[in-house]
Amino acid sequence: MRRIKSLVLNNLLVIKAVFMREILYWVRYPLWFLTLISFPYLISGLFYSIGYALSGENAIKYFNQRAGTPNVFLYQLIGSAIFMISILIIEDVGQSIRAEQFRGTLEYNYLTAANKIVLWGSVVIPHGLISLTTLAGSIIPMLFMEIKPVDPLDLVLGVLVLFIGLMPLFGIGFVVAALTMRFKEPWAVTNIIKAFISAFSGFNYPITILPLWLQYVSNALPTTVVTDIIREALLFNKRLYTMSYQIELLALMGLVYFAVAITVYKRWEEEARRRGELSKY
Amino acid sequence: MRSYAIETKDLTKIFVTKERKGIFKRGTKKRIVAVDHVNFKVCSGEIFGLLGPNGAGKTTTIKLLATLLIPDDGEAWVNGYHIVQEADKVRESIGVSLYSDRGLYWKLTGRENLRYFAYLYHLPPKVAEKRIEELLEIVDLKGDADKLVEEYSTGMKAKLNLARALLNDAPILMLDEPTLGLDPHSARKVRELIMKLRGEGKTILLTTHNMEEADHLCDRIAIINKGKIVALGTPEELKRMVKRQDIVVIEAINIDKALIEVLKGEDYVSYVSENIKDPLSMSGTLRIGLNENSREALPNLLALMTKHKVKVQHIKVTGPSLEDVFITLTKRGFYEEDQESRAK
Amino acid sequence: MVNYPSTKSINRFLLEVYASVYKSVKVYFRYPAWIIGDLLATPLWMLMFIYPILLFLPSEQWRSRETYEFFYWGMVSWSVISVALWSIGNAIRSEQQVGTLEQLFLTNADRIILFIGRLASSSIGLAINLVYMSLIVYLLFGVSIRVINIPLFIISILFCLLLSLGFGIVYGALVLQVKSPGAISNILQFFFLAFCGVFYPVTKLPEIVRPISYFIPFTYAIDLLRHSTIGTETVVPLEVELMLLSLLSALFIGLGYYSIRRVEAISKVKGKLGFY
Repeated sequence: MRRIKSLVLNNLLVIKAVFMREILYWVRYPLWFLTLISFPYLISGLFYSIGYALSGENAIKYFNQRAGTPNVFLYQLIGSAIFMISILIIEDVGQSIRAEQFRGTLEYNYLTAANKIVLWGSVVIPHGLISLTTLAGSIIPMLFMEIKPVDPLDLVLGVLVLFIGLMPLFGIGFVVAALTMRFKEPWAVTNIIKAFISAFSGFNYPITILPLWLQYVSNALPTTVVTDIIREALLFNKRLYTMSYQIELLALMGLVYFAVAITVYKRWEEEARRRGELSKY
Repeated sequence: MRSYAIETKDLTKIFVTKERKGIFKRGTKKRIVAVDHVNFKVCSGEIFGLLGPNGAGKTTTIKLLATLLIPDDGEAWVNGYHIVQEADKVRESIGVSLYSDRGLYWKLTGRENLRYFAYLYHLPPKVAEKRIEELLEIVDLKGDADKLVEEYSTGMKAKLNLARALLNDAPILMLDEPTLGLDPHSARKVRELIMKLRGEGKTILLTTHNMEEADHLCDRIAIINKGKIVALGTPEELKRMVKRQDIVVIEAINIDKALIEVLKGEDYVSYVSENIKDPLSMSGTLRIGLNENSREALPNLLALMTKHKVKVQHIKVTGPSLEDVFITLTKRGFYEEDQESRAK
Repeated sequence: MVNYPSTKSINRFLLEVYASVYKSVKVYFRYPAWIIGDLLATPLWMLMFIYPILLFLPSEQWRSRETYEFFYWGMVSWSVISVALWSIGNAIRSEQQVGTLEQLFLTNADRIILFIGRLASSSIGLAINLVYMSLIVYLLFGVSIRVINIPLFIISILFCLLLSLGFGIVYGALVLQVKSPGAISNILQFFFLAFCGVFYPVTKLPEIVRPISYFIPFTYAIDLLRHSTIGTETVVPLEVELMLLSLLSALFIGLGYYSIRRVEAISKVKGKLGFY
C-alpha cells in the first residue's frame, strides 16, 4: 500500500514538474497566447475575404449551398480553432524530445528517477489546458455575440470530446518525438503530418466536397471527427449525447494511437541509448 | 602610433540582467559590473595571461578587445587601433578563439567550416586550401577534417576553433581557455603550439583558470577577480608578493567545514583554501599557508586531521603558487570564488 | 606574416558572396529530410487553402483554369513572403542560436552578404516548389500553369527576391531582441496575406483599407508576378510599377544595411551577441 502511495506521489511530482516547466515557458513568452487566440480569427477572416473578393455578394450563397449554413464566420472559426490546437500539439509534442536534445537537457532528464512515459506524457496536461484556453478565447466571444445558449452538460461533454479527440494527436506527436531521437529532424516529419491533417480534416470545409476515396481518408482522422462533432453542436444545435457513436470512436482512436506511441517510443529509446544518441544534437 | 600590441584604459563593461521568481512576478533588474576599469598593456611578442576564477571577467575582457562588445566606459587599442572607432582594423589584426561548444556549423565538415571562414577573411581560394591543410595538420585534425562537425567530440571542436583563429595569420591572437576540454596530450600540444607562435613573433592574450598553465606559458599575468585586476606581473614577481612561507598541500577525503574553521584559528596558519572535487565524499585539496616553518607545524596539522576523521591521501610542502597569490590578495581561493559566483 | 586587409575590392566581394552561398547551399542539401518534407507537405498546404475558398465560388469556376492559376501564383507569392519572414527574417537569430553569430561578426565580411546565401538556398527551394506545385496542380485539377511573359516573369521574381532580402534583414534585425519572434512572424504573415493581394487583387479590397496595400512593397512585386504570368492588370501603370520596385528594392537593401549595423552595435553594447 505504501509502495503504491509512494509511486502515485512520485508520479504526481513529475507531472507537477513538467506542468510548471511548460507553463513558465508559456507565461514568459506570452506573445504565443496572442497568436493562438487571434489566429482562428485571422484564418477565418482570410478565407472569407478571399471568397468575397473572388465571388462578391454571392459568396455567402455559394457557401451556404455547400456547408449547410450561412454563418460563414462561426463555421470557419470552429475549424480554425481546432486546426490551431492540432498544429500546436503535433509541433510541440513532436519536437519536445528533440528540443531537449538540442538544449542538452535530454540526458539530464534521463538521469532522473522519473518514469519516462509519465515524464514525456505529462505534457498532455499543460498543452490540453492551453488548447482549451485557445478554444475558449476564440469561440466564446462569437457565441456570446450570437447569443447562443450553451447547455452546461454539453459544455462538459464538449471539453471531454476535445480532450478525447486530441489524444490521438498526442500519440502521433510522441511517435514523431521518439523517432527523432534517432533521426534528428522532427521538423520535416511534423511538417508533413501537420500538412496532411490540415488538408484533410475538413477544418474549413465539409469533407463531402472531396473525391470519395479522399473522404475515407478524412474520416479516419480523429481531427475530422472532433471538428464535425463540435460544429454539429455549436452550429447546428445537435446535442452531444446524441453523437455517442462518434465520441466512442474517438476514444478508441485515442487508445490505439497512444498504445502505438508507447510501443514505438520504447523501441526507439532503447535504440537511442544503445547508439549513444541521447546526447547527440 | 601606440607602441603596445594591446592597451586598455579604464575599460568597463556592465551587464543588466533580470531575476525572475514565480510564475507571474515581473523580474527585478540587476546590474553586474563584469569588467571594472581595467588597465593593462600587452607588449608585442609576449604571452599575456588573464587568470581568474569563473565569472571574473576574463571572457568579457577578451570580447571587448575583439570588438564583440562595446565598452560602457574606458578605451582600448589593439595593434594601435581603437576598439570602437577602428573596429574593422582591429578585426584584421586579431585571430580569436572563444571557448564554446557552439560556434561551428554542424552540417558542414571541419574543412568546410574552415573554408567558409577563410573566404570571409578574404583568403583567396588557393591560399585558403593550403592554409587549411597546414592548420589541420598543426591541430591534428587531418583525419577527421571531412566529417561533419555534429560528429565531433568537444576536444575536436576546440581544436577546430583554434585552427579557425589561426586562419588569417593575424599578429595578435586572443585565446579564451584554449585547453579547456582537451585531454592532457592534446592540451600539451596546444601549449607547445602557443609557445611556437610566440616564437614566430605573435602576441598572445590568453585567458585561463588553470594556474599551472598560466605559470608555465605566460610571460606576464594579470590576475582578475570580480572584474578588477588585483595583480599584474611576471609569474615570479607575483609569487614574490606572497610572504616567504611554506605552503602545505593536502589531498584528503572527508574534509569538513569545522576542520577548516579550526585551522583558520590556529596561530601557525596564515590562510586555508579548499578545493572540493567531490561533494559526496568531500574529497579535494587543502592549501594551508603557514606562518612558521612547516616542520614544526606538520605534526599539529596531522593531529587535527586525525581528530576530525579526515583521511589524508597525499601531503606535500611547496613554495607559493599563483593560487596563493590570489588567496593573499582576495582572502579566498579560486574554488571559493567559483562557488560564490555560481550562488549569485 | 600574411595580412589580409578588409579594403573592399570586387574580388573580396565575390569571395564573400561565394562563401555565403557555398555554406547555405551545402547546409540546405545536408538536410534531405527537410527537402523531402517540404516537397510532400507543399501540395497538402495548397489543398488546405484551395478547398475552403472553392466553397465561395460558383460550380463553373471549380473547373476553370483561371481559378487554379490564381491559386498557384498566390501560393508562389506566399512562398516569397515566407522567405522574407521565415528564411531571411530568421537568419540572424538562427546564427545566434547556433552560436556562429559572434564568429561571423569577428570578420569584416559585409553584413548583408553574410545572409545572402540564405536567399540562394531559399531560391533553390522556391524553384523546386514552382515546378513541383505546377505538376501537382496538373495531376489533381488537370490545369497547366502558364507564364505569358517570361522576361517580365524573371524580372518580377528578381524583385521578389531582392525585396525578401532587404525586408527580411530589416525584420530579422528588429526581432533579434525578441527571443521568440515566431508569434510576430505568424501574425505579420497574415497581415501580408490580407493586404498584399496574394490570393486576390488589391483592387477587390474595400476602398477604405486599400491605401494600406499601396504602402507595402510586396504588393507591387506580387502584382507584377501575376501580370507577367496570367496577364492581370497592374495596380499602377507597368513602367511606374517597375520603377517603384527598383526604388523599393534599393531602399530596403539600404535599410537592411542600416538595420543590421544598428542591431550589431546594440547587441555589442548589451552583450547579447552570444546569447541563444
